[in-house]
Parts: sequence; C-alpha cells; structure tokens
Amino acid sequence: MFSYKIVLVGNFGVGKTSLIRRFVENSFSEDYLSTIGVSISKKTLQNATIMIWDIEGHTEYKPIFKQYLLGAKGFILVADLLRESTIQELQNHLTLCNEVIQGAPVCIALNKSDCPHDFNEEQMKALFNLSENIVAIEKTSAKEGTQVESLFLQLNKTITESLV
Amino acid sequence: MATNNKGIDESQALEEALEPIVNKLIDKNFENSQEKLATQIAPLIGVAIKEQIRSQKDDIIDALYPVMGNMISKFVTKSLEEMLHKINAQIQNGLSTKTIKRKIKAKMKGVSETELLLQENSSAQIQSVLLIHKESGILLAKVEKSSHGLNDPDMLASMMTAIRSFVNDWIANDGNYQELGEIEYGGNKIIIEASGSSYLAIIVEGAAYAKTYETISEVFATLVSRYGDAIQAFDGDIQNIPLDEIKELLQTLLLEETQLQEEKKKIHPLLILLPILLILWFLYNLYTNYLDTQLQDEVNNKLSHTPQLLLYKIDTKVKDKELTLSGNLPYEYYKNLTEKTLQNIEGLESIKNEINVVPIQSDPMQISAHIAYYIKGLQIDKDIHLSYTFDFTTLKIEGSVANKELKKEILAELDKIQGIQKIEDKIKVVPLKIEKFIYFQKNSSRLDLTSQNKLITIINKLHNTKNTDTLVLNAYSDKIGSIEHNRYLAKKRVKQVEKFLKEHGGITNPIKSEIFDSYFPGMDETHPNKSRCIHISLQQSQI
Repeated sequence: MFSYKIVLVGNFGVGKTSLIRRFVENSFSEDYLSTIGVSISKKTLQNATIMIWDIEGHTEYKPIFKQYLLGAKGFILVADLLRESTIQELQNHLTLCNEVIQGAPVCIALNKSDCPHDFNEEQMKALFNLSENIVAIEKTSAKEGTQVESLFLQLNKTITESLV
Repeated sequence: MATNNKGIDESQALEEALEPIVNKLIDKNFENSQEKLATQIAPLIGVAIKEQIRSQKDDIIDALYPVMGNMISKFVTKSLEEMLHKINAQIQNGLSTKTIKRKIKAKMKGVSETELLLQENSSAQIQSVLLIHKESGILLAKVEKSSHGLNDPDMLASMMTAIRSFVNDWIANDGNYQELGEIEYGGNKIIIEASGSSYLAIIVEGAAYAKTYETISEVFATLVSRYGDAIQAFDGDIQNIPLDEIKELLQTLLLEETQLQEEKKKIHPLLILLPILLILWFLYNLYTNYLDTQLQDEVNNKLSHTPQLLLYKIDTKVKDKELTLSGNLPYEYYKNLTEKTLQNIEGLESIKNEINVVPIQSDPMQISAHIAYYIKGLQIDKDIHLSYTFDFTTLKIEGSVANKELKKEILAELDKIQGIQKIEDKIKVVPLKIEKFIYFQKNSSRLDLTSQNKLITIINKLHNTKNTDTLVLNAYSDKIGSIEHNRYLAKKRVKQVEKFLKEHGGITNPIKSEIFDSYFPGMDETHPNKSRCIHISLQQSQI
C-alpha cells in the first residue's frame, strides 16, 4: 500500500481545484472560488492513498509557496487552453518543481478543453521538449470530465511503478 | 420659472425663519419626553446595527475593539482573580489530609501549591498521536483512544503539515528560527514535536503539563533513534515502515497518563504508613520498656535472695532483654555465682557480666589468725608439725612432710587465704619412717593394749601420709622350746598383726613378713621378753 503526496501547480484560475473535485468527487461547479493558501484532498485508489495538494494559484504578484511542494512524489501542472500566458508559464513551473524535487514525474493538464480553442496537437507535442520529467500531456475538461481521471491515474501508475 | 424661483426663495425664507424655533422645539421635546423618544427609536437601533455589521463589519470591529478589548481583558482578569482567590481560600482553609498531602507534594516537587491544585482540578489526557512525514505530510502511523477516533487523520496530517510549513516559513522570515509548537482549540490542543524527517502531532484534551511534554519528547526521542532511518527513507511505500513497532511505542504515550495518575496514588500509602510506623515504633518501645522493667524487678528480687551477695553492691541494668552486670566483688566465685543465680530468669536473653573481681584488703590480724588456725589444724588432724612466721605480707613456712602431694596440698590451702601476698616455702619432703616393736607374752600371740596402741599409731601415720609403701613384718624368737613351736608361734603373731592392721586400720599397703629362728639382733637369752617380738618397718620406695 502506497501513500504519497502530489501537488497541482498552475496559474490562478486555470482550474486546479475543479480538476481535483472532478477526480475526487466527480463533480463540477461553475462558481469560481479562489483557493487561499492550500486545500488538501484525499483520493483512495486500489493500491494507494493520494494526498492531493491544491495550492494557491500563481499570480504576477504572488509566487508559489515552495514549502508546499516539499515531499511530493509527483506534480500535475495545469494551464488554461484559453489563456496563452498560462501555457507560457509552464516552463517556470517545471523549473520550480524540478528544483524542489529533482526528477519528480510531471503530468500536464491543458484544461477547459470543452471551450473552443486553437491549440493544436503539434503545439501540444512540442511541450514535451520542456522537460524530461513530463510523462503525459492531456487536454482536459473538468467540466465534462474529459481525460481527468486518466491523467491522475497515469501519474499514479508512474509513481507507484517507480516505488516498487 | 419666475414663480418657481419665487417658491424656492419663499421656502428658503420660511426655513430660515422657522429653523431656530423648530430646533428649539425639538430640543425641548427631547428634554421633556426622552423616554417616549427612546421607545420610539429602540426598534430602529437593532436593525441599524445589524445592517451596519453586515455591510461594514470591519468598521464596527475597529470601533468596538478598544472598548470590547478592554472589557474582555477586564473580564478575564477578574475571572482569573476570582479563581486564584478561590484557590487561595481553599489552600488556607482546608486542613484536610488532602491539603497536607498537597503541601508535602509541593515541597517535594518544588512547584507551587496553586499549580498542583490546578492540576488536580483538570486532567490532561492524550487522545491521539499521529506520526507524520515532515515534508510530504503523509500520515505514517496513528494511535488513538478507542473512544476518540479521529475523522480522516490523513487530511489532518496533511493540513497540519501545510499549516506548519506556512507558520515556520513565516517565523523564519521574521529572522528567528523557531517552530510551531502547538495549536489550541476549545479545551484541547495539538502539541507538535518535530525531528529531522518526521513530527508528532499529539491531540491532548485538557491542559498539558511539563510532565506531559517531557514524556512526549522522551518517547519521540526513542522513536527517532530506533526508526529514524526507516522514516527518513520513506518513499511512499508504507510497508517499508515498521508500523507495528512504532505503534507499540506510541501507544505508551496513551498509557502514560494513566500511569502518571497511578504514580500519584502510589505516594498515598507511604505518607500514611510513616505515621503508622512511628506509632508502632513508639508502642513497641513502650512494650519493651515494660518487659525490661519486669525483668529488672525479677533480677533485683533474685539477688536480694542470695545471702552471699547481700553485702555487695551489684549494679544491674536490663535493656532489650539483655542484662548488664557491673560492680566489684571480692571473689571470682561470687562473680560466677551472681551470673548463675540470674541465669534462669524467663525472658532474659543474655547476660553481660562486667563485674570486676577486686580482692578485699583483709585485716592483717585476721589473716594471721587464719594461718595459725590452719597450721594448728594440720598438727591436730594430720600430725604435721610446721613452724611459720608472717610479717603481714610474706608467710615463711618450714618443717617437713612425708610426701610431695601433701606439701602441694598444704601450700594450695594456704594460698586460698586472702591477704597473703607471698609464701616462702621451706617445707622439706621427708619420707615416712616406721620403726616399731610389738612384744608378746611367753607362749602367746595375743596383742595387748600397748601393742594395739602402737599399731593404731602406725595406721594413723600411714593414713595421714597416704602412704602406699610395703610394710615389712620381721618376727623374732625367744628360743624357748622347740624351733617348730617357736615358728608356729611367730607365724601366728604375724597373722595377728596383719589382721589388726587390715581389719582395724583398713591398711591396703602390701605386707611382707619373714620368720627368724634367732633372737632380735643384739639380744640374747638374758632378755627373752624383748627378743620375743615383731619388728615393723616400712620398705622405702625409690623416689
């Protein structure tokens, strides 16, 4: 039985909390509530208990609080398909994560795929070049549940396999 | 437009004119009917405040804080004062055993009574203990009282870690390196005890005391020293952590509190036992004292019934059934007699005889008389003639006795006379000599009175000197009549003498006899009466 911590990192309003709610409770709310500080959720899978840390979104004035990343076994980086700047920011997030936990596996969720967007497959593949730690990149929709569970499960698989 | 302007002017003029009057009226109305006004406004105030709080909460707080803050602090201070007052009253008034016990405990532990009282009034109990991985906030192990199960401890562990991280980082930014120690909520608190790679979050109900913290850090130190490496190496796989051992160790924290209470109780019997022991000891002393007095009485009683010892002062002291005798007595014999007399007293366990034997300086005349008495006695009783001089220190004694044993006996007896410091012995040992003639009538073997007296003298001499030498009986003849007849007579005479010595005198000395046909040497037919005899002598043994 495994028990570990993962952290969702991304700019504010990209949908980190929504992704977690979808994964943990399989629910969605249109209301936007900014996360203050940190919110923690637990998901129990067949072989592992995952503590999911949902931290305050990164803004221009408030950097991510590094302490919250400590001890994580993996990261899910979240960006908003509708906001180019949030995708640009992924590079910085990757650097930060690798700085705190070297070589920790990372999954990238490009969220809000239910909305019309113009981010193509090629651009998505190009994102893999950002870091060796990236194990998966998916277009997700917390609202519709697209690719949410599979992304979390993929990260779980990578982590648990590395521990065995 | 003109009428409009005019209207405004009029109303303005009217307002200006009426204002002082209306104001005056309102003021007057306020003064006269304050109560009426208050009842009218009252319902509005509640609504107004509610609205104000809803819309401008911070303003209200800011406005009220100086007043409220003071009020709260006043209230708290007053409550504390009251509590202290109550506690002090309890300390001063209560003289129950509990109070005394607490006083002693406070002295022994070096803490104030008030603290002890507070401790008595509230109890700290550890409800749950969580061992949490420091960085990831993963719950590694958890023990809790069955009645106080935690709702989702995993979440608590993670949130605690987040809070800890935040606070520690915030404090660190302040320039000091400090850590979050505890979080309080309601009457409970979470104590945080951290090490390198893990920390304990301990949920305590009630107030925690120094001892609680001490125990926690002791247990945690043990845990870290034993399993620190395993915890540090934790990578997410719970199986790599020796959970059972850790839980067993943490379980001691839950038990600790009850053990602490038991320890407190353990002080009871000691405190009660002490006075009981004192009383018992006192009673025991009384009892042994009584026993000793009884024994002392009996000892004195026994001594007073021993006439030999009545003259002397003997100190007796009985303690713990042991008798100590002291004092001075003139003779060793008296000393032993004293001990012997007291030996059989029931209950007496031992006798320590410290009596000194001090010879009593006797009256010199008395000593002289003793000696004279003894020497005279010897003369009468044993026919031993000794002469002596005594100058009150030295006794010079001379004369002769028949053998060594006798001499020894005499000297030993003289030695017993108290007061003679020295004996100068000039007694010679002269062997006993016997030269006696027993004469007989012509043609007769009868022992006449003279002969019998002579024999008795011999017998006495032998007895007195305890002589064992051989008696020699030589029979001589008057040569009147035939030789055979004379021999027959001689044999008969020897037999008579022998018989007399043995039967009348009880003589056991060996007897040797010889019959001669001749006269006694130096005699002839002119003295037949003196020749007809038995010569008795003693064969000298070789010394």
